[in-house]
Amino acid sequence: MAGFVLPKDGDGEVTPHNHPDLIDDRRLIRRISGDYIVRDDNRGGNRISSAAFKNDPRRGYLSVDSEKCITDKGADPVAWVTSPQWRGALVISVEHVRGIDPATTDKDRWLIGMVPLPDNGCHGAIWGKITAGQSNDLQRLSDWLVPIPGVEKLIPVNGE
Amino acid sequence: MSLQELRYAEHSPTEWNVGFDWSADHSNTTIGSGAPARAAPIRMPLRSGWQAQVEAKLAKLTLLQRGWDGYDAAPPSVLVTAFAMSVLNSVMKPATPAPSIVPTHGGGVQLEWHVGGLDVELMIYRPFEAELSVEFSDGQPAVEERPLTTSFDSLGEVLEKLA
Repeated sequence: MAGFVLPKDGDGEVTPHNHPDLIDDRRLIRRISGDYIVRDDNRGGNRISSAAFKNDPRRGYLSVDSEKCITDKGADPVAWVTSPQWRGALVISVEHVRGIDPATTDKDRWLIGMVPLPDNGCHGAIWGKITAGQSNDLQRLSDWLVPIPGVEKLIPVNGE
Repeated sequence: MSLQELRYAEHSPTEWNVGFDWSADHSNTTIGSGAPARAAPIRMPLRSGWQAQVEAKLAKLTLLQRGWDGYDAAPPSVLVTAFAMSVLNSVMKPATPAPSIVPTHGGGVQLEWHVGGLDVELMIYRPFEAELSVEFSDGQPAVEERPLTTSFDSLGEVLEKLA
């Protein structure tokens, strides 16, 4: 969004914020490294670990890509986020992410903003604690942007 | 960094209580070549099936490059992987299935078992800082991110069901 200036600290690092472009049905992409794939004998196959979406605020933020930012640059989101090394990607709307956030007050809510990196101008971030259960819920509400053959994604419970 | 250095780098010896004997060589070898002439060689117990698998995986994870996740994640440190191995040595039985092990974007590792109707996850952020989550298929209340630091008995109790 024109006019929005990323907040930065004295060292020039982007500080936690909500970016006005990342709202409602705008989508966030989470790249899925092959290192996140685990064996699940309960469900009979390979699945994505909850580690893919977990976050501990003491160790920074959860990285994502902004789909809108990518398309605004005229680029293809699939090509932007995948490579032989990062084989897959999930995509989820900001609205769904907000729906998982357990916070009851504004000051505790997850923050969803942009943290452009030298090699990824569409790099975004989610700040806040994301537990194993919330991570699995985020996975359930995500869709494959780039599926990984032979890997199952957790699916919504009760047909949500 | 040696394991001994790790021990002192992270915590004092009195805080170490995860049951791993740092002074022992846990490889499947006979030792004693440096012992007095009359001393009988000490035979270490055979390693469990899961140990070689886990050691290989942990070693592989430390070789990850920064940005392994497609963003800017650091690889797990040797301190973290050594701690993970020590925890497993303290709670695993020979017949316990090996966990899946994934790196985390914060530089830790997560150990996971999805078998026997249990979903068990131990997130290790750094040595002596971990969280246990367990979901049961039989309707028992889930354990959601129970902090574990020096005692991993609760993980051992859960894994008993899988051995």
